[in-house]
Amino acid sequence: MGLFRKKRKTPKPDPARVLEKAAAKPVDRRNFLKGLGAGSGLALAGRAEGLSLAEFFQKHYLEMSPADKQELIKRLKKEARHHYGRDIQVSDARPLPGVKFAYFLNLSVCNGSRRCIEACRKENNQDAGIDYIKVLEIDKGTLNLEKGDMYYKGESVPAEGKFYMPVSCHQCDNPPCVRACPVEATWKEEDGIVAIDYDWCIGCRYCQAACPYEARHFNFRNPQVEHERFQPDQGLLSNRSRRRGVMEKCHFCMHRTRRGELPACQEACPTGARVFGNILDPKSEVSAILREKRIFILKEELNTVPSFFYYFD
Amino acid sequence: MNRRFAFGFFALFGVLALIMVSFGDPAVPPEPTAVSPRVHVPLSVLTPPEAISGRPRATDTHPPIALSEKVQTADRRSQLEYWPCSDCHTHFGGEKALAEEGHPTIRFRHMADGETCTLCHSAAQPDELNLRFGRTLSFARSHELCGGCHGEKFEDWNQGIHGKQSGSWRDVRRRWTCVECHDAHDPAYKTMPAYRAPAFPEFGIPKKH
Repeated sequence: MGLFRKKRKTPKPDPARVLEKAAAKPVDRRNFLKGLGAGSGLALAGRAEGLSLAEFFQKHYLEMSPADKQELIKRLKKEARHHYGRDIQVSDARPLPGVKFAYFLNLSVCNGSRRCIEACRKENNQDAGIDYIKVLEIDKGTLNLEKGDMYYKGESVPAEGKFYMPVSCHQCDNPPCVRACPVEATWKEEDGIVAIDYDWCIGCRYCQAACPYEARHFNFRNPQVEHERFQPDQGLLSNRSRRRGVMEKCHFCMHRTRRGELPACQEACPTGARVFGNILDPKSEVSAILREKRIFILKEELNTVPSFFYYFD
Repeated sequence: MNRRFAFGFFALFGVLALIMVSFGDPAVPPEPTAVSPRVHVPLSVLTPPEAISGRPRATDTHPPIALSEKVQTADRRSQLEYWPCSDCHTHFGGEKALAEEGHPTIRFRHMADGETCTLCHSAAQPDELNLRFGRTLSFARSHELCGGCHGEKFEDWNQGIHGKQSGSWRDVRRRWTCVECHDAHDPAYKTMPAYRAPAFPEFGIPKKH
């Protein structure tokens, strides 16, 4: 059962029968116009299946008034109630002043246990087949991403002679995806997070092609979430319900981090390889890493200026 | 506290009973095999097991320790498997082989030449750790003992570069101590099974691997 598909009370008119009926009648000018109207109506109903009027006329996130946002939150709550029987909290956290997020990952410590992927799946109500994080298993002494294997079995990690490199959205300061978007459905927020308006996205997938980190994912169907792992703590720009045909990606767990918590993947990491914090605060852990350690930026030559760094120790 | 006293009485009673058994010749220590058939530790080190049998584990929880304004560490003393050590030990004198025999879950693989427990454990006070020059350290601050040898890692840990943190990036956070990830007696990080791999794309180009 799709997330947005509403139960239809009256059976959908069969287009074939409508056409048959129309064909049985002698065509005059009046009938012709009527048939035209019915046909286009059917076409609209088929195209915008389950799309309510309010949804259709919804504004871009950045142009929404607080009342519009409340309206949207109300709708999301109603949908969750209808599809999952759960009461959800949808927050609309805006960037904190004086905060620029940075994420550091210790490649010497990461053991490729995929706990971060599992936590991410749960936190974001992801459909099967969409993972924001890819953990690449690479031979030690090399850094050829094409040889990296994200489908490794991992009966006992870390495997001999391998190291593991998780890759997710790098929240670039010079984001190719934002420039590729033809409808400005994705943009850069003040704290460094690249956000997506799921209702504004048209699903053209240009951003997916533009991203050098393979961070963006396309919903080929309405996300299907098991009821028992449904996450009721949601944010308007982060893990709220998406529909078929829109893009999604890692958002640094915006609904958590903007109220001071840590991202779900950081909390799930068993080895402490992930360090998250505010790079503008000189006393933060991430600033200490930037000062003390050798930093490695993935695909630095592309000048994407990421907020996600790797380091060794 | 009362329970501790009660246990103390029991222990005293047990020791007295044993002394009375061997009253004939107090200079000769009782047979070690009388204490336990498996552990051959002199009675002067170990309280007889019958005196402590049926005792509940210490369940008192200690408050977290503040390292700085925003950083805390957990005091895990009450979660230790063999705690308090003074339940059985009056002092430490045992060697590595004896310790592994007496504590089946302890596997000593830390230093190749480290054979004595008292390098880290205080010999005189079983519930304390051993620093140099006769100073002792609480088990709750064991990371300072680790830092005595692993100074560089300890510096990193102090700044939050090495090790796991949980709680918040902005407010009070808990920094996991060394022994929460590394077994103090066998500190190499263990391998583990990974979670399931992502599904291989059905219509994608198959990757050779």
